[in-house]
Amino acid sequence: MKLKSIFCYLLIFALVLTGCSGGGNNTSNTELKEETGNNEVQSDPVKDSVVFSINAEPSTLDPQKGNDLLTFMVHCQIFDTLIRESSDGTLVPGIAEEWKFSDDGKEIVFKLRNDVKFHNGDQMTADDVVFSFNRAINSTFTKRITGSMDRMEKVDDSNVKLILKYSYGPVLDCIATSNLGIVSQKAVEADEEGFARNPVGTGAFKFVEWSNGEKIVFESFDDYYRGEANIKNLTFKIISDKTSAAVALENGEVDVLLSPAEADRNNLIDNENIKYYETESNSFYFISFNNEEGLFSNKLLREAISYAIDRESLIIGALEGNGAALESAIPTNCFGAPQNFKGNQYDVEKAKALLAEAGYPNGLTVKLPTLYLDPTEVLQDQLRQIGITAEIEQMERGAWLQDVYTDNKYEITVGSYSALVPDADQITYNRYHGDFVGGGNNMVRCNIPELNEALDLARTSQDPEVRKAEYTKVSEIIRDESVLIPLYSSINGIAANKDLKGVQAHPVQRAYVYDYSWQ
Amino acid sequence: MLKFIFKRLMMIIPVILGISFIIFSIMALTPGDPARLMLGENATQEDVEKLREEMGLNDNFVVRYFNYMKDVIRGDFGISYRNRIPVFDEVFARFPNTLVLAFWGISLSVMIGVPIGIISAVKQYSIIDTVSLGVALILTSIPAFWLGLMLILLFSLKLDLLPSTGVETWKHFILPSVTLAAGTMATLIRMTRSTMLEVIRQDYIRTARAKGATENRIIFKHALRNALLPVITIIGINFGFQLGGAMVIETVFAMPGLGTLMITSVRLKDTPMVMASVLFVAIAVSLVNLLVDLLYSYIDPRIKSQYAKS
Amino acid sequence: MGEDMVKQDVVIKKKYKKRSQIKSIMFRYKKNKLAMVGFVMFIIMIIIAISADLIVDYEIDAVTQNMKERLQTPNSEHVFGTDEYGRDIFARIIFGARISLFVGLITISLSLTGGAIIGATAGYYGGRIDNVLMRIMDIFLAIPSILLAISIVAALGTGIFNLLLAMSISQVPRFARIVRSSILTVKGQDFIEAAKACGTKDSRIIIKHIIPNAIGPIIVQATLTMASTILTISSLSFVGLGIQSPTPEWGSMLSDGKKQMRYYPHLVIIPGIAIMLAVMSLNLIGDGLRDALDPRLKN
Repeated sequence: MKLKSIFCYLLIFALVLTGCSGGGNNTSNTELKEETGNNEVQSDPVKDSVVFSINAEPSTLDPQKGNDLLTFMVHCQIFDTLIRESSDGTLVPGIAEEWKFSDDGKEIVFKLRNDVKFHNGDQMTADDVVFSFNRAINSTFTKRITGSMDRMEKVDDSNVKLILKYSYGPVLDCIATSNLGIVSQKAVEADEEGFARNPVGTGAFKFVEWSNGEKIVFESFDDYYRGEANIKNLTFKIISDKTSAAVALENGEVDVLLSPAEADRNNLIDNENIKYYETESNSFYFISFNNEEGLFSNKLLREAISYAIDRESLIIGALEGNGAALESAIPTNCFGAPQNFKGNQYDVEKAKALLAEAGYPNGLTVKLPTLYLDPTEVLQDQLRQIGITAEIEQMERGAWLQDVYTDNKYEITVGSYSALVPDADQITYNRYHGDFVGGGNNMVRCNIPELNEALDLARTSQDPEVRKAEYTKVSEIIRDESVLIPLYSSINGIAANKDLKGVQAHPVQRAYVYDYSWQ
Repeated sequence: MLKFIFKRLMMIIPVILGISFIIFSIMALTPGDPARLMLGENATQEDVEKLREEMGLNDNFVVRYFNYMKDVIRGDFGISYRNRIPVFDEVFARFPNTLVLAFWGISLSVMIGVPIGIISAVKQYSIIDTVSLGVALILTSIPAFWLGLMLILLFSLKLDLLPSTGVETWKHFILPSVTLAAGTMATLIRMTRSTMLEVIRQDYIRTARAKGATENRIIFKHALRNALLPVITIIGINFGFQLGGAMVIETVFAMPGLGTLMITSVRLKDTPMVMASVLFVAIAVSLVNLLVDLLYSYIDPRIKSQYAKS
Repeated sequence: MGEDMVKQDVVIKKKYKKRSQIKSIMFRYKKNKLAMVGFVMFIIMIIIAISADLIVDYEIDAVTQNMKERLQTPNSEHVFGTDEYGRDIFARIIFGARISLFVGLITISLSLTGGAIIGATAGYYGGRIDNVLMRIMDIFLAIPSILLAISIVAALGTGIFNLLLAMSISQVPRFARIVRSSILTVKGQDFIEAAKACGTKDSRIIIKHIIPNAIGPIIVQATLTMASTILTISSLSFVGLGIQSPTPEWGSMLSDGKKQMRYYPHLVIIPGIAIMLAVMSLNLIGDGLRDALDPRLKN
């Protein structure tokens, strides 16, 4: 009958469509599945693939346009830097064999290796290094890393000179980040925009393909200057739901899971086939005030809130207890973080007294825009206890970046900062210095002369002890003026198949798959 | 007949224009500067201003809309504000996933819903009837995403039978399709049942019975054909809802389709991406409506002649 | 003299017709057992929503966080258990009913008003105005309502007013259609011409004829709108664009609970059942009314 035949055609059409879109991506994955799945049942021959689960897509594969921790992590596999971070966190030679500072600390000469190749077979030259650095210095995305740099010059075919604007303590750490990954000048100049989806670097893994929203595939680079990686096939699988990702890890569908959800932590730790690694992160969450305008230009009010904070409850509510209270504005793993620093301690009565002294004996109402709902909900309740009604406005990242972060149209907010490089300067200078008020830097809008001095001295001094002392001072001033209230650092976790060696948690969520190998 | 098809294709244009204008207006009202999003938090204000000029963001709203539509006609859907890749590539890559999902949603709902509706009608007041009506009632009363969550809870997390995210294999489509099909299935059960009931009561059915035709023949040859007409309309109308429902379901199952793209893009104020997605959906829905009307005319020759005349 | 008598006749006849119409509709509705079940469920929901404060305390139970009590499964102290912030789920469900009803009612009012104005204008003036207005309505109907709601809320922000606006806009076309078709049905009939010839004012025609004709389908649509509003709001809250914390809305309870779903399924099962029961009662009422109004089923 006509109806029936129409029906059959539709059915066949649907099946074909499913086959095309779903199955097309099927092949490479089933191969991987056979190799990495069901560890309990079979012992597979030489395993050399890793499926790495991440919960969002990197924004780009162009290292000089990278802007967030996840993107940086992916870049680490593709690009190398002059100085390399080794697995215990120390800095060792990378593409540069050695380097020498000038006496005033404003120039560094690097001697380059001569055996580094690009993924496309080209030899890496000093020109590529100069090109990459200057590209980074001119990029609008990398200011936090390249802010101290003026330009890179070629000295000769084996040497390059980096000229800084001022002597900068953490400059070597900055050079070790992926924003300064070396790219192929030829490839970039051939296709500037396309490079973001088709990168050419010198790193351990070279790019194969990117299926939007699904996965990014790499294979090992056989001419890698440190020797080819143990892992031959690396697939980043994008699983945006963390619970499903945990299930996938348990099933063996993926081998590594970056940043598992707090809710799944205990379950994964208890699982015999999975190992869970963690470390304190270089990110922290805080309450930020607009110190210049509005309700919170009143110091007493800010101080009142600083006594109303119960960090432990915040950590439980936001992170299932998986965090570390932070009382100084500098995360513990950063150079310059003061030891055993104490902020204002939890004291509801004192908070209420200060509130009354500030002129609000009957409490008040504030708008509380935020990106992070969980800690903010707990905070809202803590504020209620002292009589402050907070109306939470959960914002999208774009809106928050514009209104709160850049234009500073807010009074109080909950935010987070990360130190890309484990040095206090990264997470204090732009944030609290009077020269940088607004525009996406100093969002507390403070301008305190003693603070500015301490920050300047800490940044340029070449004496580590001086720097540390100044940063302790910075923390004290921030606490005494209640410029901003640090809350807690999260704990970065990574979970992996127990047979995969070399996996480590990292304060800035990096992962070096080059170090991984199957037992 | 061809004239009719042509006329209908032409009528799609004002609808598309209308939809695109509405969505464009809404996106223009959203706070947040795409230039700043593209350049990053650390860019200076001057860099941002420069990019705004380049992207034409400082032109007035109507001018921007015209420029956009001009480009679209030439096939250029613009560059994503978020990651600077051509919008068309991303939308085109993801569209099949959503289409397949919507398709299976409709197919499952028809394959299961219609037969159940027919059986319910034929065996009115029996247990089958009561149970199917009950199931239909429940299915229309629950939010689709909750059904998805329950299915994930049962089949993925507890029983570990089916995957809960991704689009790799056909297995990955099972739970999402079932979730999507549920709502329409319920509607189809009820509609089919009620139209069948109406048709069965008609005189010509009674005549066929009197003439001695078997029950099966009556149902399949006579009743079904007429009862299915309104049902086909529902399927057509519902396709639009299927695509809309697919959006939320894609979020629940974290599938890389047009739906998740649209939601992310709306949040990130990635106007070109949103516009392209909406246009794709609008065109798809309109084409399906046209197909449904043509199907109609195949089934009912009276309508065919009506179309041919106009 | 003769005119007066005719008018009186018509009036008397109409009064008689109307009363028995309403009565017979109610009678048919009551006969429908399922519809009565729905009605009772709905009344229970209203009672719970109104008397919420008497049963549980908003501040203490539904909103205040209590980390020591978090994530409890249903027990004697907390009938439905507690959520991840230690709040009593039973209390939150009860207050959630209030919110759902409130949002539903406002949405109905707004969209009915908007729809009536548009539909009335279209139906009454006909011709070009009718065409243009209905095309615009079609365009809005063609946009999936979730997308429309998401766009509006993403654009204007998540305040409750914007939310209501978004929900109402998507429902206006439906009410517009009903009002318009009621007007068209009535417009074409002979006795309207007669009434007009007698000099009856327009307003009288509207009140005496159009409204009674339209009320039935409008009420049916209202129940459906309320049901669909509850579903859409919960979807929006689930995606993070609906009602904000700590207000206990069923959809945002689902969104909060999703993270812990694997280990504490009650967080996700209970609010879902609440939504289901609320929407089901409305669907049953709507169905029952539709059947009761349909003269073809009069046998």
